[in-house]
Amino acid sequence: MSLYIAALALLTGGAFAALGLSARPKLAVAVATGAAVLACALGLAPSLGVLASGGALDLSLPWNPPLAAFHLRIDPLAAAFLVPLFALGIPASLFGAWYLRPQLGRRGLGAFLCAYDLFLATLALVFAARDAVLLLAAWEAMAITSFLLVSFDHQEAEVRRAGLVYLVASHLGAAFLFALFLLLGREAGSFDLDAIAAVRGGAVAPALAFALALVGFGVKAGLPPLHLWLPEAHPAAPSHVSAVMSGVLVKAGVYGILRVVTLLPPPPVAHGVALLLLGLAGALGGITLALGQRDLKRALACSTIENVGILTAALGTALSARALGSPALAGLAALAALFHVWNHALMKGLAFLSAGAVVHATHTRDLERMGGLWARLPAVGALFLAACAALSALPPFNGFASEWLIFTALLRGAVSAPGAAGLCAALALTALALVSGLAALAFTRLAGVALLGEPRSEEARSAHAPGPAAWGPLLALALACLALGLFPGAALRLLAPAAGQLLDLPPAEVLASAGPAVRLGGALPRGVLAFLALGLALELWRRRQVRRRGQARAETWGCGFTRASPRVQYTASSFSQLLLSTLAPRLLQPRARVTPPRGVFPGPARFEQRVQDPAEERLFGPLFHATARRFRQLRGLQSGKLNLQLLYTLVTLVALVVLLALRSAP
Amino acid sequence: MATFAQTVFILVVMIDFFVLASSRLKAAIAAVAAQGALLALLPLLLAPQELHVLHVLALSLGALLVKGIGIPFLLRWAMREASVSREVEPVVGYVPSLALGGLGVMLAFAFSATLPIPTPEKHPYLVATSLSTVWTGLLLVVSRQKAVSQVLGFLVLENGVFVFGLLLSDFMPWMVEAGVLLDLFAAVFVMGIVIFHIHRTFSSLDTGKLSALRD
Repeated sequence: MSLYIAALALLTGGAFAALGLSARPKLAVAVATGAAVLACALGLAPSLGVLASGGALDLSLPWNPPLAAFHLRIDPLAAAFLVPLFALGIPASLFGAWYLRPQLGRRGLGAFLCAYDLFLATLALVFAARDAVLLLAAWEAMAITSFLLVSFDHQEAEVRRAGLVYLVASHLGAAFLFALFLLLGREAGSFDLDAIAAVRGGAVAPALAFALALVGFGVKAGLPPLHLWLPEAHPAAPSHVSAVMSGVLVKAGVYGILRVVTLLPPPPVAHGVALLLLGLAGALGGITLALGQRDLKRALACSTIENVGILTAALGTALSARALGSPALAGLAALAALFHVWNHALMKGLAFLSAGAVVHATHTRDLERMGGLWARLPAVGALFLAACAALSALPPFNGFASEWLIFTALLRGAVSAPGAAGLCAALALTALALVSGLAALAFTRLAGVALLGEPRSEEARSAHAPGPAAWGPLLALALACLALGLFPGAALRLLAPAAGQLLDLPPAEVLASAGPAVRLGGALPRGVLAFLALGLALELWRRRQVRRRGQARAETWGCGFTRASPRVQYTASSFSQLLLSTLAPRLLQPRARVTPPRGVFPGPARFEQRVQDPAEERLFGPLFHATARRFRQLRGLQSGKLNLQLLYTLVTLVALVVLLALRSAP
Repeated sequence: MATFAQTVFILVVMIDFFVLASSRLKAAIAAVAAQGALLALLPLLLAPQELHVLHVLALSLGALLVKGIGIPFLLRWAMREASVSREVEPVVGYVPSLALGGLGVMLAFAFSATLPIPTPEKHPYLVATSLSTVWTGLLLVVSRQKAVSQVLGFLVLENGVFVFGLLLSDFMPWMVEAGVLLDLFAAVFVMGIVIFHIHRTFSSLDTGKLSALRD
């Protein structure tokens, strides 16, 4: 525990040191990055230790504020989320130091660095807090520091809007959390989570508590329809911040839901099914939205919605399987979900960081202005491709390992569960299979349009490769992705206590349910190796053919035209157009305006397309507009006269005192 | 001792009436300063014998320095700088505000006993004095036009809160007391800035002119 406290202290110290050194930006970046990297390394040790031993670390410090206590505990569930935070924190901070280099002279850099270190510290505190008030305080501090990070480029109106959307979403979510913990705390007579867990929520209806947690934490997790802030905030933030936000901050929402589940009585099937349905909706909606985005980082943010959906669906499967009395299946699904938490943190971190390097080189996030980057940025391009492969769940990367486990769990459920439950599992399996296919399409689109073909703009043509300071941290992440994909057994063994804690099962039983995947050299790596061998064989065959027949070089998509132009290439929009405008459900279809070419010698033609998010256009947009209209009617009360405004306060106060006096007078 | 405390409470309420009725800012500032100094006596008078002497002394001394000396000095300075000396045309006239103040004091003394106070009463007049002073302060803030008078109203309001805080001072942590004083200081500071800005922008301290800024 002392190592964890040291990490917190180091992050806080680094934050304020960076703020103090604002006048010397180079030193400030070095100090903040050094503190973050060292703290993450320090924090990783106790987290892994807890997972390896299956025990828990506990710490209570005297603390002054009313109702609160400084009570920390790293139990396996917390450690399962601390590990990706600290593991991703190191490469993200190192990459950040490189990414911020052009901003060195900028005003507000010190504050940004301070907010970044504090953000990591508050995230670590959220996972370890064992007192509801401390948890809420850390949660709010996390929301505010990340808001400051998102609005770093606040000169741009778009970024300010994104920051605002994020802040409003966070605060609305937090309101539900306050209600939740007030209810639970009142029942338990204390805000300590141990006390709350001891009474199992008391007289609070579990469905109410679960619903409040689902909304409050679901906002951060990006569960539909509360995912609106993700596609806004992730592109706006600097890339290393989006990596940590997408990799870990979003998981803090999932962690919150799981933590509340452990506080309540064992959840009924309905809770699990609700999670499963929300997860599937998020996965399908997120990946369909990702297919339509022109903005590289926005597409990645939509894919985060998809991945959180997948792991939420797996958690839903685990909870329902447990309620239906099949612990082995529940264990497997929970293990797979937690494993996906780790994998997604690493691969989405890699994707955002490499996208950041690409954006840094081309000065644009617009896919339609990229292209041909593979030849210009070979290292970054290869790493981005690796991230895309991992995200579309291709072996040998880690995305495949966890999604394969999730599919196994659902398949086992579909085969073994009786009646409706089996049917549900089969339907969920089908939906997830569709999601996987769409994900492969979405990431082929991202990688293909950005990296292959000919440059679509002058910026892309003149992009220059960044040095090892940029791709070094990415390489480490890619290797970690590869290692988890090839040897999932070690990670699964570490995660078993966390899954066991979630389901009240002994870790050994959870591991047994995962079966051969856990054993090194089991079926999973063998399948992966077979896949790799197949790929290698195909490549060798291609080379032989090339050698035999010779090879001519021409422009991509030249198609034998005499004057090929980069404009004849597939664009990002045309690549996904067929799917989006025919197969996608009507709600998710983009709005397109087409003026087709007419006549024998075609004149000018136009094609415009805008992706619409049904949650925004159908639900929150109208809702907020209606609310704003109502509140505008109250404008008349604002007279602008100070005395009158103060009179309102006076009247309210007097009314309250009178009420108090009347109620207490018998 | 108790009779002495009673005298102090009565004086505090009398000063409330005086501030409500006076149009000359200088006299009002002096009265509020006197009220602050009187309040500084209260922690000494009300402290249970066995309790932390240092704590009580610090509280009393802090109140005297901030309420009795520091802030009145600042206000006089602001008054000279902005060259205002009278509150003309208050929103509520002097006689009606006196009547309202009297009504408030009456109600406060009538009902203070019925309020559910979580701690044992230190003195029968304490809650009533506190409520009437808070009421006077609010009345001043609402009914006066000049920024300086509004600051005065705010000070009187804080004095009332301070009296109420004495009820809790046995177990109120240090931090909260420091917070009260700091809060007051910050408020006066902000109001000072506002005063100068109003003065510079509109060449007057009439807060009514602020409505020109309304959107």
